[in-house]
Amino acid sequence: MRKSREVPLTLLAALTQFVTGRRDVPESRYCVDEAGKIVPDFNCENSTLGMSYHYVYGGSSDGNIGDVVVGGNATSKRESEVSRGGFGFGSGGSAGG
Amino acid sequence: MRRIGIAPRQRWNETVARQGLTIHTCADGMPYWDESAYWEFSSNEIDRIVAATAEIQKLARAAGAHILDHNRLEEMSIPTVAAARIRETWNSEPPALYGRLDLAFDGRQIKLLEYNADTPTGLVEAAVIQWYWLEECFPKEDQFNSLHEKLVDKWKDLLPYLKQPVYFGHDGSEEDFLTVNYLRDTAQQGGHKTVPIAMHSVGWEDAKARFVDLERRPIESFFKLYPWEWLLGEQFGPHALETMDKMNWMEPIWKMMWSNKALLAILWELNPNHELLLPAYLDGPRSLKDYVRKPLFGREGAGVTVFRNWVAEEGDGDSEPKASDGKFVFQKLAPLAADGGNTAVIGSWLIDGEPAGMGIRESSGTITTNTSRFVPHLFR
Repeated sequence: MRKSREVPLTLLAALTQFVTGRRDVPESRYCVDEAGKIVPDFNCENSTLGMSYHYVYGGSSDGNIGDVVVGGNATSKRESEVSRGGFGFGSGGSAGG
Repeated sequence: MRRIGIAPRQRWNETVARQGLTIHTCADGMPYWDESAYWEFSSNEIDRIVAATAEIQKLARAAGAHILDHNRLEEMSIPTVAAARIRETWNSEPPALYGRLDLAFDGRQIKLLEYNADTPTGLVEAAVIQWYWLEECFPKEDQFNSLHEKLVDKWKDLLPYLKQPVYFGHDGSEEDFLTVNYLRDTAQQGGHKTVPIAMHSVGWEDAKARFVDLERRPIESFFKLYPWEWLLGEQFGPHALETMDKMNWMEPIWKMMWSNKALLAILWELNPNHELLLPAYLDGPRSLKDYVRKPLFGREGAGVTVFRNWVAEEGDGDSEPKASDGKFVFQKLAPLAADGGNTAVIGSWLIDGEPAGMGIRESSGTITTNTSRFVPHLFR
């Protein structure tokens, strides 16, 4: 019945250091032009303009209009369409019990 | 069994927080982890709890087969859209990890109160914190607790069956977060790569009909501390059902049958007068005068009401969980271990369907809620 060895904890102990303020970092998404410069999102959302603009997911940038996005994945809007928030609204109580 | 008061360790709160239990104190300042006492059992009493846990698990397996053979899911208020997937997974037996039986034990009789089969929590304190407490305070004594080893072993067994990484989803309280991350820890020690994700961050990629993480990587193995009845009621619920054949969900959807409190009435119906069961009915209290009314779905005592002499005496019947659909199970009130105004409920854990350890929750009343205290145990 008795445990025969230690209970080594690595991840849990480390995570408790960050238990407050934890949040997933939202994925960055930028609408860019053919030169990779950030433009307003409506350029990517408007199908009549869509040929010249696309979203970049991830990548590094200061996030201002006109900044260049370095790295990241560029895909067409259709291919990259991902919706979120379809889970996680709960039912007003505790998920665990 | 008996409750023994002792002086808590100096700076116990810092100790348990360092070991992983950051929720050691309730919002009202009262301890959640309460080491001002412990419960002492005899070896024979622990043997009885182990045997009862294994027996109830057998009864639950038979009840699951009965529910499907006799098409009783609708009676349990389980959505009909889930029926086919429940049946498939019951038969194909995809990976399942754990569960917790809540038992009443007053030193004489053991009775099943309910089965937390889908999203049980309180695992960190049961597996880790009370073990370290025993090692420090009573190093020569024993404890019914092989949770950690069994979890790691189970994850090792699952290596061939789970595509990597295994995602761990949560979206609730700090308690849920700790449980999920402790399970992640055991999974990593079992050889898995793991990734945490908030439930609201799970993405649905329509073009490829798959769930994805924040980096757009497909989620193919998903442990979620999130009840199935919630999942199915949300926007992505239909996608979960559509894609179930190419994704491992833990716990599997068939656990809806066991986590549903209608199981208690079905168990009694199939095993009338079984020594480990309490009379329980779906159509009302019948001849019971002291009973507990529980919503079919719900956790942490939500919506539970205690009736004595047919009069509601305790509980929050007004906060009925939405998913209960207004349906209840009526279960005979069980005698609980009590001492000095504290009543105790035993949470008996199963890993891979086998008894693996226990934790004790104490309350001032009859209903175990999210503020019920966790009190360690030992046996001699």
